[in-house]
Amino acid sequence: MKYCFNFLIASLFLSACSMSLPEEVAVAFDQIDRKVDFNFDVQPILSDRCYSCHGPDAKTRKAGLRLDDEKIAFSKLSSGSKAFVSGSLYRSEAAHRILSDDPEKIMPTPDSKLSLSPKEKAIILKWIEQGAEWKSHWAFLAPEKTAPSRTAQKQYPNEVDQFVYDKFQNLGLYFEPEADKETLIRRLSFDLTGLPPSLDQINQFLNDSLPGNYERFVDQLMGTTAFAERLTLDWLDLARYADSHGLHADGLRTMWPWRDWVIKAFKKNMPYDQFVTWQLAGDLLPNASTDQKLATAFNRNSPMTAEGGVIDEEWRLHYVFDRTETFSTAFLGLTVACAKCHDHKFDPISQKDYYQLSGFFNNIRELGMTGDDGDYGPLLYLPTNNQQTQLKKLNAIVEKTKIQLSLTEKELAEMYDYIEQLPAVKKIDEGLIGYYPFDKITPVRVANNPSRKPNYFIADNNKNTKSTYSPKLVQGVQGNAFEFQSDYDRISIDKEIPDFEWTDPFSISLWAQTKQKKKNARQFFLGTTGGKNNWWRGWDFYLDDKNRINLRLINMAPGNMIHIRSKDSLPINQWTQLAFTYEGTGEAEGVKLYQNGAPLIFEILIDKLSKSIKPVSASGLKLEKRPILIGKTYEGSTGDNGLFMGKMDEIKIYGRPLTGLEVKQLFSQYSEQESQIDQTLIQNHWIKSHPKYTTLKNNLRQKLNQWREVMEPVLEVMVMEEMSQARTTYLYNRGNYNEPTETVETKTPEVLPQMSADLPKNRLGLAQWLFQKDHPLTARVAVNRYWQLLMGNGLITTPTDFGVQGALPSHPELLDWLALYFSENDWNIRSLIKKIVTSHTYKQKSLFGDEKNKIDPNNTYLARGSSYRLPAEMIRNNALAVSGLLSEKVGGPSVKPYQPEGLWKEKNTFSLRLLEYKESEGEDLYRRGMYTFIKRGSPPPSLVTFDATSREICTIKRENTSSPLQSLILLNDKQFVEASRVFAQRILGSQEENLQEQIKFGFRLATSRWPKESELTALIELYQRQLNYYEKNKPAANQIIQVGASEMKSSNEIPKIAAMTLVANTLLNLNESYFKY
Amino acid sequence: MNCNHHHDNSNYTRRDFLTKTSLGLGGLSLASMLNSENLFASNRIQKAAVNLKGLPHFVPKAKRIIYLFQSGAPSQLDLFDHKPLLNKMNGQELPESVFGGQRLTGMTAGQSAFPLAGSHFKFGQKGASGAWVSELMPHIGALADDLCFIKSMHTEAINHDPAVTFIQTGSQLPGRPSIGSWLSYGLGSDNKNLPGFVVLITKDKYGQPLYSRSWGNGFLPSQHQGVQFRSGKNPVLYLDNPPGVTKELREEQLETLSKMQKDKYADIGDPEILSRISQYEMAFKMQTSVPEVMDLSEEPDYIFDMYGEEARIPGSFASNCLLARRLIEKDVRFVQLYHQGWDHHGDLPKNIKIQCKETDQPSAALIKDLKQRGLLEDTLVIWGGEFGRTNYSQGQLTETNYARDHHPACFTIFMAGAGIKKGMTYGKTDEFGYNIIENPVHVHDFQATLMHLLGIDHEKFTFKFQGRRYRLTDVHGKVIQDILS
Repeated sequence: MKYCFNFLIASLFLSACSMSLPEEVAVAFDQIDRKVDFNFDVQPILSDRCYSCHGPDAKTRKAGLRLDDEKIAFSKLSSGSKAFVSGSLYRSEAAHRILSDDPEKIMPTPDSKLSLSPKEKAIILKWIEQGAEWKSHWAFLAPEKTAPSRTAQKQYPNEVDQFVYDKFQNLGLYFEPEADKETLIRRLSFDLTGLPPSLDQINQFLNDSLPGNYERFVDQLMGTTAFAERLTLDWLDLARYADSHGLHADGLRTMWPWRDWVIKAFKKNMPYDQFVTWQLAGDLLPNASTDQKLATAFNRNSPMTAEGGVIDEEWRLHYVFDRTETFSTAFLGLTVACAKCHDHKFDPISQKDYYQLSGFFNNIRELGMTGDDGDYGPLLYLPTNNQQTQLKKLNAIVEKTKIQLSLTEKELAEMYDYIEQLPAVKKIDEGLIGYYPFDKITPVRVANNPSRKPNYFIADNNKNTKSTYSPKLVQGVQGNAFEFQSDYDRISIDKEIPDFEWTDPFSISLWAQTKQKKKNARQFFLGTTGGKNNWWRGWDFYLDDKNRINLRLINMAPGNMIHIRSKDSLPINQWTQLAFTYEGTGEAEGVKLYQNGAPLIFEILIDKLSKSIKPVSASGLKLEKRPILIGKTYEGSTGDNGLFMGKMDEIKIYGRPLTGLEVKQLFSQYSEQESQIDQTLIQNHWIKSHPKYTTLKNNLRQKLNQWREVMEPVLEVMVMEEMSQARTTYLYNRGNYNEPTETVETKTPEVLPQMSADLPKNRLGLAQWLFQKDHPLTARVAVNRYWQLLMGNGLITTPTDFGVQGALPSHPELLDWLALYFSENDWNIRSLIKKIVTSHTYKQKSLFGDEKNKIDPNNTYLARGSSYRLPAEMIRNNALAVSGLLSEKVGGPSVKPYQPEGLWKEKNTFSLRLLEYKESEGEDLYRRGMYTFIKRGSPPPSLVTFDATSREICTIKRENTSSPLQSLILLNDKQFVEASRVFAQRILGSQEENLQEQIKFGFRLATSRWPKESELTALIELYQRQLNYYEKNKPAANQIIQVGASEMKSSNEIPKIAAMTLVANTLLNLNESYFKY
Repeated sequence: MNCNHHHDNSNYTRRDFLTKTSLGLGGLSLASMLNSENLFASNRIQKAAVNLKGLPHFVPKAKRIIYLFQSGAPSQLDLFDHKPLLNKMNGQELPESVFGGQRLTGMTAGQSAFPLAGSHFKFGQKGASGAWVSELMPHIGALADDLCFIKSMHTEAINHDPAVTFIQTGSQLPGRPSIGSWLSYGLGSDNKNLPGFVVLITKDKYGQPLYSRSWGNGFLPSQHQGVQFRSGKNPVLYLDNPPGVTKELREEQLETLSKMQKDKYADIGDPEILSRISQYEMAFKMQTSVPEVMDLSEEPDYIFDMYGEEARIPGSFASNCLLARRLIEKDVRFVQLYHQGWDHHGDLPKNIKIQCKETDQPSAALIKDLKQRGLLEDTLVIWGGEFGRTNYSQGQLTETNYARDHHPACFTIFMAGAGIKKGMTYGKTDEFGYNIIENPVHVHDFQATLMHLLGIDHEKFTFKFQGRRYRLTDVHGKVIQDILS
């Protein structure tokens, strides 16, 4: 009430603007002589300063006021007033609040540490006064085509120029003339290929004065693989591509085949919609091809951890969230990460939206904790052509043998010889390779043991059967049994049992009695599976937390393995015989489970095994014999070490598949009751033991082994693959894995157009939704990125934020025009790029007139060409290209060029594969920057110093900074010194007669233009002085010319080469060499 | 609209430039002409610093920081947080009431028993303040009256990678700027020839990994990332001239380069050229200033007596401590040491002794040395790891051996110097050393306090990125007023 009173007083002093304003605000207010736009003028202020408390986030909203919601912003609040009243300042509470100097009243509040400038206040007031016209956020409305002015259309054929020209009006700006041809070709060459133009290209371009020469040159460049590589480089930043896992051990991963797929796609000029759809959901396309599946590795570029002790689900969710956030940053231009913890403060993205979106990425079988090195989760095999041929051939033979086998089985089944062969023997010894009765446990003390305690114990007088402690001897099913009680009385069996391959048939029978069901953990009978760094390789037999019986054969979990699980649970406190038999065919079908002699029904959880299950040492460096462990796993860092609590007895291991009959007999041996033998069991046993059958079986085994051996070295890449049963997605309180609050549907954000009802609710549907006609963001975001790639800045300078907090488009009409041009043109990336680079806007001179700089210092309105330092990789490419060292090899594993010693190891010794940085050899030392190996925890310094990123997160726009460390690299990095030396040799070895001509040649190579007289003189002088020195100091000359691995061709002119090396290096250090002009 | 730097120097016309500068490296420093105190924070950033008006927000108590980061997490229960009850109850199970269902790492979650493990090391009360320090840290103990122990630190992460990332960047996941880069960005550097943020790693000392992101710039411009100074020939990557290139030759080369660049600037007026020229000047100066500061040969013997003989071995923790002092003397704003090897999941009694031997004397020497030079008044020294360790044994507890797993719920760090109370122990854990019972200090509180000491209001010091204002302390953190002097 008091406030109202004050307000009445104030209203007595109504000025021309209907309310008394502080002087600074009044001045600003009077200066606004145009229509204030809600989207462009008002909302940026409201969102930045007001939305924290009066925005989309319901939890932090104050006074029930939403300034992002038209209805609420204009309706009566609980206080009785309205924030905005169209046309009336004095009835708009907001106006009073922003002008108040009462700390209790003023908005934004003092404790928010935010404030409004007089100009910002004036804008809000003006907008209210002008009628407070509300608009939806521009980026959430579909793009619209507007026509440029007729003058513009008449003057400029290219639409880009028409829109840019129209913006100049009122600003006093105008185009610069076209840059000279040398500048232009250099600009274009770097922008489109990441490489400097060759002298031939320059000459050809200079000599070609026919109309359309520029367009022809553009086409020529866009047809090269280098063009595809150049576009790929930016995509690698976006996709956070790297060659290491990024977190903790930061070990080796194999993602480069995906990178090569990207190059291939750009080379083919794959339409953008297809390009994106394949990457998001290639695996879900009908009859997906290998390439389509490979493309989905995009979503597996997320960093992963292998840190011992991490909680699997916590990290698995991090990967899901990473995909969700990368998706929205890359394709929607929206930062949704805030909504992981709470409703978005600025954009209408609720917390629920976030988790609904995450549902699309939550359905692959992956681990939260992986091993230090290697590839995990769904994997795609990428055999070479040669491997493919061999596999195909072997496959055919295997299939044929399998058919023969089943025919033989049928054939034998029709005979009745087995009737006479009713087994009389109960003892089953054939193929028994290990028998562990657990009747006795004996302490062993080794010589020189000073303590009174034994060193270890052995079971049943078998020296291969050891334990650190002594399990308790108890009454067993036959004689004694062992009862496992502590963490350390587990038995290991060394040596006598071979490490099985998956082509080896084997069977195990044992008696067990457990006391418990163990919450969230397993109870391990026995097995050889290793820890995470051994890729869990081996086999194991255990109870899960519901006491279901599990058997696994693992090459690498969870991508390459067999896993089966019984439907029913093992009863507790009951002696039970358990057995499994395995045929050695690498398929779950070849496994049988038994309980007390009778078959058990089981589910096949994973049936994708192709490579060896023989245990390996850490990071798979070599095969490693691993003892079988009984009662506990080898895992020490997952929280699930499989401690078995209870009794075990009579373990028998066979190197062959027992038949059902034999398993039954094994059970009967320990049973008092005579069990009934089923005729079919006898028949089956007879068939399986028949020489006709076993010969064929051996034959099959041999072929499978051959197949496996071809398969072993086949590349595997992490890809997306939906699980057959969808995982439930939750909303997590503040993103905490252990605080799921409610289940959510899989859905796109509410504020954006709905997903068409006929689309599947999976990644494929999501990709198709992106390219729905009414989608307001996809095309805008993409064209903005390509604009940025060519111009340095996007039309929106915040390419990752098209939301209300983002920058506003400098040329909204142009942005929309390009977006529609792109989508209506079948998402053709090349024609989009061509449209831009053939514009005058692109081709202008990038001079720095003081006058224009005053009007538009940031070149927002494009009244000159853009200029900036080249990306890190191109600076490297340039040095290598002008020296002639550059390798043109495309694709393949990432390479390791020169790097100062010890950088990897001093930080991280966990990854065995990436322990020491081992420089590449030969050609691979001189590959394009984009092929440099990226280890995220220790990225290549010569690149990151020039603002390349460590690829830990999706980056759409790199910084472009300047520092002395950059100068040091260009001057002293072995790569740049070597390139300078080889460049010097090229200069001196050129056909040019005299020094002057030679230096001119070098200058032109480095900068694409001829030097001016003064430049030439300076360089000649430099050369002479340095030559003078090196002639007198030959050993010094000898030193500098030996930098780098490449061959030194001529040797008699060493001082000259040395001196020219410094000249060449100077050339590479000119701004013109590594800047775009 | 900040990709280019063109606008930064636009107030300098070409005429100004040509009349105000002399050519050549020996002439007037371009840097000073460009009004750039710190070239590591290039011109653009100077501008940004102006945008962050009022930085520092108030008169700082500390000008610089030395952060002796003990990577791997030292056991507070064996060093500072004295818990006689653990010795009394040695071998007994951690009571369920104390344990309280806190989450465990996968390394001990599978254990069937959680036997309490009393420390094997004797504790004593030190100095007038009576702070408890174990016999493992005699030198630090002797300095107790200069130190402030915080026994109630706690963090959110339970494993190294996220915990280190959290304490160094305020977030458990990669992508945010580190403490040092925030400071470099916000405050710039007071030294023209050295970077404002230097990182030193103990050589040949392996353990839990370090990650570039711990001193990375995140979304801040890359010149704010920490610059690692390494022992050996090339203390800063690419610092040395190539073999066969003398200082004089290099100078000639740079003069030619500079001359050509200046001509070019006169031609086209691209202010970026000027910025580059000054970067080359700075690079050239660094070639002298860095080796100078790294060269310990002029240090008198008594200094080596103080820091220990190890300080003579380049790259040792002791040597790095001494180096930290030398860098601070040159007004480097933030020096961060990393010392690995504290992750004692096995053989703790044996391994912790080695660690303490390496760090106790030099850490104490550094504080003493700063004090005797009057530098401790405006330098803050921090010593600590990323989380604490459990009061129960990981693996088998025997008479002679025990080990401890990660424990985020409480740990101890200490600070000394500028703006910090002396001889103070802050915060308290329960008798079991498992839970905090008094004055908890969250990692964000620690970061807020650190910022405060440098004159920064951690809530105001933000950087807008992807539509959101980011800060070191995320949306949390409060300054621990009680420990401020």
